[in-house]
Amino acid sequence: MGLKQLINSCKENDRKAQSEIYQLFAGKLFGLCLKYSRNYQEAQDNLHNGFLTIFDKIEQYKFKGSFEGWLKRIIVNTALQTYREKNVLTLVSEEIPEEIDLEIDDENISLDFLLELIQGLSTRYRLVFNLYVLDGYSHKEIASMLNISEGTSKSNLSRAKVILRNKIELYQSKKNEAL
Amino acid sequence: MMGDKKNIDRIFQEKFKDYEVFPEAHVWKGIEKELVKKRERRIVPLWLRFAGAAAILITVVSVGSRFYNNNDIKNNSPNTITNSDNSEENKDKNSKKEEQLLDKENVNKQLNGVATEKTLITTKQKPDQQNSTIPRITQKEERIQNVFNNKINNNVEVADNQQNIKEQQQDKNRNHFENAKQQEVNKENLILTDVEKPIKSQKKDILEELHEQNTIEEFRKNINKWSIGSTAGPVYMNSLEGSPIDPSLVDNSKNSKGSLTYGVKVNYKLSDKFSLQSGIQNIDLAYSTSNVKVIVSSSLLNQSNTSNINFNIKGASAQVFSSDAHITQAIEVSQIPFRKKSPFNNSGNLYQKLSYVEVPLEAKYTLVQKKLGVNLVGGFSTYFLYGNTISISSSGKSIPLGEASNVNDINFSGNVGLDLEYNISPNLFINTSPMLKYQLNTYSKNSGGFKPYFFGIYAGLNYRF
Repeated sequence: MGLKQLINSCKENDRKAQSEIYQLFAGKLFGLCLKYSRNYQEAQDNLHNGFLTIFDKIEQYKFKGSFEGWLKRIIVNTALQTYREKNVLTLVSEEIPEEIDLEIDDENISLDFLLELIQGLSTRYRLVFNLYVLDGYSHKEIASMLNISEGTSKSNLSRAKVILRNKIELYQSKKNEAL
Repeated sequence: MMGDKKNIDRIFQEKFKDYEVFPEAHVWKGIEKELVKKRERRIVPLWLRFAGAAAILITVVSVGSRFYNNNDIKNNSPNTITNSDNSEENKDKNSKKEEQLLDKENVNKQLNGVATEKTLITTKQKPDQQNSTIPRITQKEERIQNVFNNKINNNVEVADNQQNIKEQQQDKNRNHFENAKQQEVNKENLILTDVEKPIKSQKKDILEELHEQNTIEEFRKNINKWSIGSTAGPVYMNSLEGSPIDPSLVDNSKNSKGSLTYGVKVNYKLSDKFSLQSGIQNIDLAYSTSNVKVIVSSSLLNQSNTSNINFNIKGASAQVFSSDAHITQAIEVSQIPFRKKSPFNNSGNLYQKLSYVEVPLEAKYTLVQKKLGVNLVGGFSTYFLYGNTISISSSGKSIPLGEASNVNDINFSGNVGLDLEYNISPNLFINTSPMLKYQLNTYSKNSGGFKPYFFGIYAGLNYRF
């Protein structure tokens, strides 16, 4: 069955088609959830809620733009919604972003470790970093999604990057000492 | 040992470019469970919806047919009791009756038409709303429970899960390594294509929608099944034509006397959109006919009592005339003895008052349910007559004449209207409800083309529990 047919079957609430759509996209979307969540458990919750929203709203997908992009947007929004409900988006100090050169060694950094770093960021930093760096949203879009100013988005991003760089460097120097 | 210096953005982008982790099997099972539940929930209200619509239709039709039958009997029983001298008049009456019957038929048809139209609308509207609201509430509750459970198990599971990720990611990394060369080639392209810049407005829509749904959900959560409240308000009786007292008064001008209804109301929520309400109310219906002349004579004189009044005075019969139209006839009759002693030889306003206990049974369909709720109401009421007086008032004095002889002890009305609710607190709300009630068989015989309906504005304070 083609993707279009699958989607149409989903619109008619066909359980088999829903399962197939899930099998097709769960991997990618769960990866997305992992980046946006604080831990594995939260990522599962977000995936669960996200997929329910997807099947609930699939009638609204009119084959304009890529289906995967549509799915990703819903998952991202579900994640944002979670943190909006928990009200953790407030109270982050705001600074004018400094243009710093954030360069680090590329060697021996595992994906696993990077994920841990992202999940370890405070929620606001994690969301801004993900949205801007990994999912290509502009500061303007992020500002409206998180209900903050563009300036805040920029400063959050650069602070997030500084934190990440420091942690990577710390990790690398420890590793070097061990050698 | 030192690799290339790379911008931190690039490092993350490259690593996470094709990042995929397949979730554990139980996640899909959880989603599937919710989807099944949602389906079941969707089927039940659909069934209920049709049942509700059918119930309204059946009551309207059955009450309507009862009304038809009454009319048939009336027509079949010939008007032999009335004087044969008035045969011409009778013919007129008969043709008039036929007209009335036709009118009633039309009205009935219209009523049925309205009812079916409404059910059509309701069935059309429902699925979407059902779809998006009911399951969500429980979903959310379950979510909360999940989170709660998860927190308990967190320590254990996090450790397990972390291992799981690591295992999966190690596999992934191996793949990455194998594909590394290929990826190098495609890297530039993929970065460009993978970075999606979706249209902002679409995103905003989804966000707003989610937010909106949330507030509604939170509100709905607080809703209980039962509510009880008071109801009171002014009622205006009206009819476009005819006179239930005497055919000769058809053309006289008539006024509705606003009167009060009061009672208690009980409401039970069947589903998110449908509820049933009933209660018990006292209602007084009153209206006056102006320019009426009453002439009383001894029944021994075999004077026909054409009007639908049982007079208080034994052995008397009387005729009621419009003082505009029947002057000549009145003069004729006035030659009867005792006329001068009669206390009723008055021209004035004839005042009819009927008191009922009303028991409504209505279905309510919710259009809007927020702080301000809007509902459509349809159903019927049963009325038990307990007060029935006719009096005449002239120059400030009111003299009771008797009671109407053609009023049924039990009658029905078809009700339609709106119900507006304003929530003061989750448990307390005030409501106001303009209702039109069309009476179906108020009069047992010759109602002179009088088709009573009344309009009431009910208001009350209600408590949910």
